[in-house]
Amino acid sequence: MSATADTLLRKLSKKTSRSSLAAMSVGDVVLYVIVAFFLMALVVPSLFAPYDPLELSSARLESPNWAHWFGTDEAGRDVFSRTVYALRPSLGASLMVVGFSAFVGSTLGVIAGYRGGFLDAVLMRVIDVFLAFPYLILAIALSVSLGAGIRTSIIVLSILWWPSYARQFRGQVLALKTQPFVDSARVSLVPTRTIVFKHFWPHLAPHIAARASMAVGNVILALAALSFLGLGAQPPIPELGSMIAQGRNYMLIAWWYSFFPGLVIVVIVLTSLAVSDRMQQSGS
Amino acid sequence: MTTTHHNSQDRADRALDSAFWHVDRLSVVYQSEDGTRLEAVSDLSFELKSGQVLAIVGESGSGKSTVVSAITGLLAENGLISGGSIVTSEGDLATLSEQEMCDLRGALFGYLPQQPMAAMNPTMTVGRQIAESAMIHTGIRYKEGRAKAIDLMRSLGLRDPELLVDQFPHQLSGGMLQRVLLAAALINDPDTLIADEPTSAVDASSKWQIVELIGDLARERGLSVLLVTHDISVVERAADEIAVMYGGRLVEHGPTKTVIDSPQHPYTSGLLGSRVSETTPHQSLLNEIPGIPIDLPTLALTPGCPFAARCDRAVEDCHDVFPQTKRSHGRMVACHNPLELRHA
Amino acid sequence: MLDASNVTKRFWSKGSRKRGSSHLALDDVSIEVREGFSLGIIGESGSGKTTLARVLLGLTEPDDGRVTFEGTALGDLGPAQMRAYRSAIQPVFQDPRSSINPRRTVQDALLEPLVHLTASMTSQELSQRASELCEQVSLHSSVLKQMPAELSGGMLQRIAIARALGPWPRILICDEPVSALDLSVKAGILNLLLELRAEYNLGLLYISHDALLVRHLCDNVVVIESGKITGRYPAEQMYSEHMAINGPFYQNAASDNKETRS
Repeated sequence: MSATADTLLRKLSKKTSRSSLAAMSVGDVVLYVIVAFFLMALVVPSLFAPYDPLELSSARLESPNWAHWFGTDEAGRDVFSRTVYALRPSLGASLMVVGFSAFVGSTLGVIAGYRGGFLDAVLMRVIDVFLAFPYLILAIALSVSLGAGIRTSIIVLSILWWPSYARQFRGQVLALKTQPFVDSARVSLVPTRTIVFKHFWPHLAPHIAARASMAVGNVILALAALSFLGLGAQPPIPELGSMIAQGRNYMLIAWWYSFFPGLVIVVIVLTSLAVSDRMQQSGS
Repeated sequence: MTTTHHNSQDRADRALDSAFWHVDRLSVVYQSEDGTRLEAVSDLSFELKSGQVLAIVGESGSGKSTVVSAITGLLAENGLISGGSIVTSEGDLATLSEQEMCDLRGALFGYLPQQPMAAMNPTMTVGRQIAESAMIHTGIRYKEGRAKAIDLMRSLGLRDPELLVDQFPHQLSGGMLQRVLLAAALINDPDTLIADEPTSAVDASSKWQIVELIGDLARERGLSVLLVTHDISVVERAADEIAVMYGGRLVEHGPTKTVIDSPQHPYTSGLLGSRVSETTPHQSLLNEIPGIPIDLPTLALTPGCPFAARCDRAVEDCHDVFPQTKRSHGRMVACHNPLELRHA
Repeated sequence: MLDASNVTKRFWSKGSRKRGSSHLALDDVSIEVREGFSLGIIGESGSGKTTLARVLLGLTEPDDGRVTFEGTALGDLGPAQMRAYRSAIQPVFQDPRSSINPRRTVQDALLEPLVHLTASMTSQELSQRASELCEQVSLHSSVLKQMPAELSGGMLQRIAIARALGPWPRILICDEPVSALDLSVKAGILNLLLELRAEYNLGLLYISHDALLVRHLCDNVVVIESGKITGRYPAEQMYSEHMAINGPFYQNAASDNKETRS
């Protein structure tokens, strides 16, 4: 019963904080600003980048200064601008992969979970195969056979990412399926489609959102890994992973080359974890 | 780690009204993150006597579960005892540290929790879990503990305890598990047993057996029992005294038979009257108490008697100030306008 | 007009039908539920009473025997007949906190059967029906906009009953409708069921382990143990014969014959 008191207390404190702005902590505000910044930079990079990312100049390997905040690379290109433009193949691609896998994965998982039977069994075996396989090897193999490039990376990672969603949501649907409110709906001839979208969705959505936002960070790392190995975005297109790879050659004389793209990846991953955390809380 | 060992025979020989525990003006509050305090239990006083079963009866929001948590030292993190004392032979439990409470749990008193299945570790045998308490408090080895467990299980009515002792919780029925937990609670021969809704998760046939068992244990071993329940028929069967809680307060207290025959508090009377008994006319409408049991947030905003809003005997004072306790003939009631005692 | 005839249902544990052991939940059970009459089913957990409810509601198919609605077996009902059956026979489950989806509004939950079982009603008509239903169960229509978590157990069970009343049913199948509720709230729900029955001439199938409640509420009573029906009595007769002999609690009689499982 103290659990009941606890829930009541929580409800009471929620009701008394009328202003939602006041309820947001400093951390929340900072988080939203960062997310907004990244999204804008993704959509309109030209707004943020002072230079053309492909523009060559004679200012080679300059350390960070007022003209070039992140310094320049071996071709005299502004690292900051390249980093901003690199968000598209990195973050943008990551969002596409996550979007696709979340959609396909949860749909298949929910259908298999609800229908059960043969369909479910087949799906589970397929998922087992995918999850058992070391992803990087598969990614490399597919990239090599399909040809390197961003598009391939996106395809490859999408194929690899959906199974874990499917498994999670199948599990949740299995638990939801036995609830009396589902019996009640079935008795009233509510079609399956409606049960899934109207009844299950509000339970599943926060978990899908939480998982997807966390995945953004993970996928970016995977994309960067592929690029690092030379399988992702091809030069001269800037991509965070390939920039880190290139910067390796100049590590001792131009630390900023690898450092800043790496820092941006870290920030994106941490941000995605923080967002995911918030989504998880809203679900419980 | 020393604990006082009372011989059950000694206890049974003691005068019946020697009180083991005095709970005096106990108050418990829950605190939320933003500082709001909700008082779940207010000014509660009662005694536990050797060989007697005291039943605390209440619905959700009455505070009865909070009382159990406070006494056993198992309050949630945001709960704390804000006033009063729980005086036992080992001191005032309200003032003890977690470590000191650990030493007493299972030794000074046994605790029988609500849901037998949830209270047991599914990966340990039943025997181990019973013996665990003895091993921790008295330092004996498992071999000895297991033997003690078998004896205890037999005396509690479990058949073939030598076989049961090595089985796992999921292999036993709800009723059997409840007896196992009872064994675990009693293995160190404590003075007191705190039973938290022992019959709600158990099916009908086992329910009465457990209830009778608890009653027998109290009488034969001189155990003092605090039985928390929402089921009045259980109280009728097993309890010597009944204490009724509403909105965190004790509203009525007295010997079971007299309170049930002639309740003084309108809430008690309403509860008793709304039951189906053997004499209720077939398919007649039952006597309802209007409204719903008061919850903590509303309680915090109610200055007077928490039951006033639902009471058909409410007078003006009821909404302003909580009534003083009136005592007579070994009974207690907290009401501005109590019912007349029905004399046999 | 809802009959179960010689219904048998087996549950298999752990996968394969050949290897796993089976549990006979219902063994040759036959009962009749009629409009205007209330039938009580007394049984403990594991007796098969819930399985019986599920079979009558068409949620589970029997392995043997059949359930008929107005003479037609459930499996043979055409689409229009199916809708008639579903509208006529509505459930009230034990725990309203899980029988009403906690993530949807009270109004959505309340209108669900009506929306899916009747020919299209305008949103105006639906809204009006929702208010009517609230009134029938003595609730203020302001509850419609709230979420289930904001209502007490008793109020939520009234919503569950109102929901069942939506499609103008003729029989309510109630599986332990007051077990999860507080003492002082139980009486209100039982009275509500008695009043609704009288006003709308509803048939009632009331399933519970609480013999006193069942015999108080119902006209006739059936006792079920381990999947078999072991007694059928008119309610009052059951009380005087069974209870007076065996003591105030039916369960005592049953338990004297049972041994604790070993």
